[in-house]
Amino acid sequence: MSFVRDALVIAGKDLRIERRSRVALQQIIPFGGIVVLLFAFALDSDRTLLHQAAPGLFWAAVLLAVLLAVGRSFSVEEANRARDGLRLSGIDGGSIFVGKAAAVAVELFLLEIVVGAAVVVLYDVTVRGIVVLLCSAVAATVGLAAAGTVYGVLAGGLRARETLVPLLLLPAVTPVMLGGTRAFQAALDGSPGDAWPWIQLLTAFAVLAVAAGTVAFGPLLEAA
Amino acid sequence: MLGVDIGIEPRRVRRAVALVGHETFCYDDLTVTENVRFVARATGNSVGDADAALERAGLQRVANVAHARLSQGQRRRLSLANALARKPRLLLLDEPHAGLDEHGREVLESIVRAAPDAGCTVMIASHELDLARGLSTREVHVVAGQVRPPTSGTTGAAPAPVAVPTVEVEAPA
Repeated sequence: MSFVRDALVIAGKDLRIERRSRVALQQIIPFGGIVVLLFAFALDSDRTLLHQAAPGLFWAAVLLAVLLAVGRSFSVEEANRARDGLRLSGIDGGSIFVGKAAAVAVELFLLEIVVGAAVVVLYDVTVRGIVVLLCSAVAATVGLAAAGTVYGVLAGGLRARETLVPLLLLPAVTPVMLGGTRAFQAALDGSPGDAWPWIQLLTAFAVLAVAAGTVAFGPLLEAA
Repeated sequence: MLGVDIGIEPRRVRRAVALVGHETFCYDDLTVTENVRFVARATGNSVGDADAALERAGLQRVANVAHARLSQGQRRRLSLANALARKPRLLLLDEPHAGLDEHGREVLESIVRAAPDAGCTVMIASHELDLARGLSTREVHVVAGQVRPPTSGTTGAAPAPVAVPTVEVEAPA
């Protein structure tokens, strides 16, 4: 129970900071919307191509926004050496990881709702498999938030953090991009049977990322 | 430390120790109350402990002000409140008088004097010796990383180092 309670304390703190600063609301979510809008401008002359590329463009926008969300999650720990305060609190590293990843995941869910709505409106797509879409979004979001949080703390103490995190994270989350895109495509096509293998891949990635993060986050935080 | 092997149970030791240093370890976007309550919850204590710590540090008037908008003295008192909210057995104060006004120093002194009654040992590292001596029951001089006996205002050759291989800290029962 202590593990869960501590994780909730960390997640609550991070979400409260975001609610106060409104960085997620005023910067990260609009950024995702702008990426979708730019693709719409770029491919507007070919509506068929835009329609076909919609799943990939959705997840590309989400992936780029993940970098901002993860960067933000760890930049708030830098001021006033709050990261040291977190270390000195005696909270288990696994709890800190789960809490921070959960906060990032909540922000990503909000982002995906906005970006998904923008995709439906701007790209003129119709979702025929809402259950498949939701299942894939949940699994992908958990995986992205967990992997992002691990790489965020890994690069935490480095000066080149802003450039290093994308370099490390984007290749690592390729399975999410692949699985998310294919599952989204199946949801648009109305063929949910095609999506389940990809949802299994997303779920396996999420489980691995959460397990690895829970074990590794504490030592990484100490070394950062 | 505190009867616990720091190599085996570092988390237990960390929960029993509070540090007030040059940084507040606080979040700029959170209010004073939110920062102290977070520290209390993160160290296994209650919201009531946080609110009591706020009151003892005299921060009720700025309870809803964000950390980023606090003065230097208010930040120092917030650090003290955070430390109290942890209910530590060992309180480490690094230059605690720095940046504090008269009221802040009174708050600090009342907290330090009351600490032993709450089962808390206080260690102060200070260059303001007159202020620190007024709060201390034991004095240790550290020169260039070595423990030396007090010079008591004497002049002449520097005193020889005292051989102190380890320093054990034990809080009152």
